[in-house]
Amino acid sequence: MPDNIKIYLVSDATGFAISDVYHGYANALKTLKIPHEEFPYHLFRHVFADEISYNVIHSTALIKSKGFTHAMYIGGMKNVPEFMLESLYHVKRVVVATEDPHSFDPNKHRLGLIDYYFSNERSIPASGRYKNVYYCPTGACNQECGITPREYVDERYHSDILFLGALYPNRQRVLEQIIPMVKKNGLSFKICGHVGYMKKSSPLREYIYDARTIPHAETVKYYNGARATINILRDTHWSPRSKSGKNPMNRSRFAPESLNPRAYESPMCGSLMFLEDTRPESRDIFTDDEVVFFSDGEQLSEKLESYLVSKDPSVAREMTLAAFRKVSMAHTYVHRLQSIMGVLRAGEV
Amino acid sequence: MPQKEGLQEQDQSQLQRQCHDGGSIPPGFSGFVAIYDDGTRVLERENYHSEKLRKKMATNWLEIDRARLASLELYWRGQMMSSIGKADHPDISPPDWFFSHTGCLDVSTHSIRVVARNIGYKDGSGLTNIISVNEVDGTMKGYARA
Repeated sequence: MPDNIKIYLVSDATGFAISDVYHGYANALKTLKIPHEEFPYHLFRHVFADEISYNVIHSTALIKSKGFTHAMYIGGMKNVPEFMLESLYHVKRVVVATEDPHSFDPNKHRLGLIDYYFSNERSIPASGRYKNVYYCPTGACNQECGITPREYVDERYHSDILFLGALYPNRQRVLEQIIPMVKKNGLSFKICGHVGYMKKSSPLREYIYDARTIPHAETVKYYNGARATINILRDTHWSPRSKSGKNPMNRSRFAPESLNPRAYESPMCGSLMFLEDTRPESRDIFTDDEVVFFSDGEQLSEKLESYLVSKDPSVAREMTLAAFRKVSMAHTYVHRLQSIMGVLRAGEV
Repeated sequence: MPQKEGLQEQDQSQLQRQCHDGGSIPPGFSGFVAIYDDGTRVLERENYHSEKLRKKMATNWLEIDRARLASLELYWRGQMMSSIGKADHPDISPPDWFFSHTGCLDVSTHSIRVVARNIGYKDGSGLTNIISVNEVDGTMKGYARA
């Protein structure tokens, strides 16, 4: 259906944790041949100060001959200044949030200035409190993620068990419980990601392999090289930024229901995912034939031993392929963008 | 090169036999297998002589009856990599099935070289969901396109 929509795609300046989502949507816009222009992503962090970048974005969005109809911000919106939302006149503001419910509080008072707010947290639009909030979960980028056979992946990315992500206290508690099983079976267990929240005395320290915030291009390689990936969902009540440890960014107390991008990327890269089933969406999206569910550290330890040591490797392979099929056919950013465009087109009528 | 053609003829007759008796996949087979409602399996074939059309074809895709398709299975070097079936996607209609090769012209031999083999289907939202397996290393990618 021909339409006059032209999108200006902008990443917010939060940091590169959201770069996978941004590139996912950029690729999806190209795949679906939707007229768009991207604000050069690298200018935010390497060339201009944030304020200058936003001034450039504001000026460009209003150039009439470019014909922009929508400015789409990918990310948590923590740093987007008010004037970007207040004075874009004929250009509609679309926000695709990636960090909800953690980042919803700084935005909710600005919802009146935003035309379409796509939250990655299902409980926010489901609450019915906000009329312009829609549900759009995160997904996997089909350009970057794929199953690369282990023998083609550099050896330093190989592991039996991989945990990749920030080591929040709830994640540490679960991971500590698998250490005896890892030692008993001599498995290769790698922890990659931000470890700043971990105590120096933590027994997990000896398993830290790459203590950085891993760029997405490498994340994919780690998933490709891992036999199993552990996905422990983040504790929404805890924040490293407050003295009390309570999260000040979710005062509306939305109960987390949705999954993180890792839940889609890991199966897309062919790693058997061990997924925490404490959020309703875990079992709404995946089944026992695709991923291994666990509720606590003890269960995780038992199931890891069962699938990696006791069971035939073909069982894990079948599950991995089934999960890959599920994600690649319904949960990529192309599918997400198709849903977003449906909402935007309906709004144009 | 008569020797090479002879080998191809032999392979074809073997595949022909297997595709009609529903036998196992030949070792090292790369390509897709079309499975009909009645359980008949038709293997994808290249450099194929069509008895129906009385000519040599690049593939046997024209002879695959989409109206009877129940599922597609994609193999790489004898190993099943993925499958798409009506059991999981009951809304697939005959024109929605998709199979293709991604290829390139090899300038050294002046022949078309298969880079990846793809199977897929078109879903209700108009997206064609494709699973692609690289011919050389077996890398799998999942795509959706308009």
